[in-house]
Amino acid sequence: MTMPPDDAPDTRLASLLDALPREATPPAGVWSRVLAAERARRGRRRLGIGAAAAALAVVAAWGAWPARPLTRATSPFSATVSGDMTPGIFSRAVLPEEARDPRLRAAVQEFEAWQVALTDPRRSFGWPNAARRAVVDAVRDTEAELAAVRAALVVHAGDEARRQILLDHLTTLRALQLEQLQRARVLLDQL
Amino acid sequence: MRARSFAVWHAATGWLVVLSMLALSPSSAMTQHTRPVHGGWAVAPTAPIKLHVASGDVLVTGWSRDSVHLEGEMAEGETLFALGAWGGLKLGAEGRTVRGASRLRVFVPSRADLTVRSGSAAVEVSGLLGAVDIGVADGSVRVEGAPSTLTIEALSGDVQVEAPNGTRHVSRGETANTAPAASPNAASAAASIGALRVRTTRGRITVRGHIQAAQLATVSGVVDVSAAPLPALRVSTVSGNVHLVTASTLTAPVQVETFGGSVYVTRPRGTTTEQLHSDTGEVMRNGQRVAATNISPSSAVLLTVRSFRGTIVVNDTVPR
Repeated sequence: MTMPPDDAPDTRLASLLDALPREATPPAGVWSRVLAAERARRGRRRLGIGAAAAALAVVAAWGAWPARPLTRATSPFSATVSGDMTPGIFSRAVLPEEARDPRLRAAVQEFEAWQVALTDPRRSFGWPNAARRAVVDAVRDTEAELAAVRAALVVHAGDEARRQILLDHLTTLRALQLEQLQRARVLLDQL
Repeated sequence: MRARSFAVWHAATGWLVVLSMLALSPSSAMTQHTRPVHGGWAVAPTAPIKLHVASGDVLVTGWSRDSVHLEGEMAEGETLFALGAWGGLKLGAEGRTVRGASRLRVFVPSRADLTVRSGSAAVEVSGLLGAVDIGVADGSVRVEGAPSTLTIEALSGDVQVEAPNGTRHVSRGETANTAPAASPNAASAAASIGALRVRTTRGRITVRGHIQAAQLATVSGVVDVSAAPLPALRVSTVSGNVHLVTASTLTAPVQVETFGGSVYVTRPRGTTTEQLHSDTGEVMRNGQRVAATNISPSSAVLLTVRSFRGTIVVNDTVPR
């Protein structure tokens, strides 16, 4: 192969460019399309990051909010009781007579306070795990009996005297549930 | 090569995690060292004594001396504390410890008022005549003797009360000469518990011996009372079963209320008037199904059993 003379660089460059394959040369407007696609990708990425940050903020605010209002006027249950540590521990299928009982709301609030206490290591450090489970089980056991009484109320809907007895059972059980939660908190706080 | 080194690193870290978990497990921690402790404090014969122990085994015994003596073993990391003077004393173990690590034996004046609080200790009390108040989250409680009043609260642990079978109640006004001496068993042999209150969440309640009045409540624990005669008794459970056994005619009102729990009563034939009612459960007497009776307040009724859906079983025993 003969080298071109040193005094003719433009000629050599032109010959080299001519030797390049024709298809390697990008077609007209391709760079603008590449840049547009890159901008779109960055835009989608920023949108995803923003959405994730917003979701994290919502989750953090939801968990940190100390007390939330009731979800419905007829439902005394907040999302904390039904959705966090012990999902669905309190039945949502309460009767209007139960919903009017202030002890129901007190029991739910007491349980929410219990959940908050569990997240405070300074307060709950000395609480044995078995005792923690016992408190939750007590609420659950009482809810099971309450459900049984409600089922009996449906069966005896037309018997007013029987219905009144069963409503008394509901009241007694709810009072026992509230008292158990309160006494457990007092005992554990003494440890 | 890099894949091989990653596999080695992965296996090494896995074993490290497993070994760390074993090192932190309770069984391993149980082997940690303990050290002997002892102490003594002069207190009045009827002084209030408060004892706080996080975990382990605690044995409290009443004696005739006007002092408190503590001895035993305490886990490393725990320290013995004692606050108070002649008029009252608060003592116990504080610090972070491992369940079951400390073993303490405490002697207190038999007529002192005792309060015990513990997270998971197994508490045993005997030979006391004053007021005794025990609160334990997870540990078991066993009381033997005849305190004037006995209050026990436990969440998940079992409670056992062994009262003497005598008929004389020893009052706190008795002199030191008539109070129990070195042997608590000898002292409590002629006495009874004045008033008993026990509350558990799911722990079993077992009561034996002579008690004047008792209130027993649990959510899901079993209640088991055997006495002759039965005390003036109120039992309340949500789902726990109740067993009452007596060989004597009822002389004081016995009231039992459950929702899901069943009730089993064994008493002499023809004992008393009684009301047995279960809303949806069966009522059985001596193997025969009988009609439930309506519950109405009446001082003439000595046995009242009421349940929502539990079975009520009453069996007669042949009088001796």
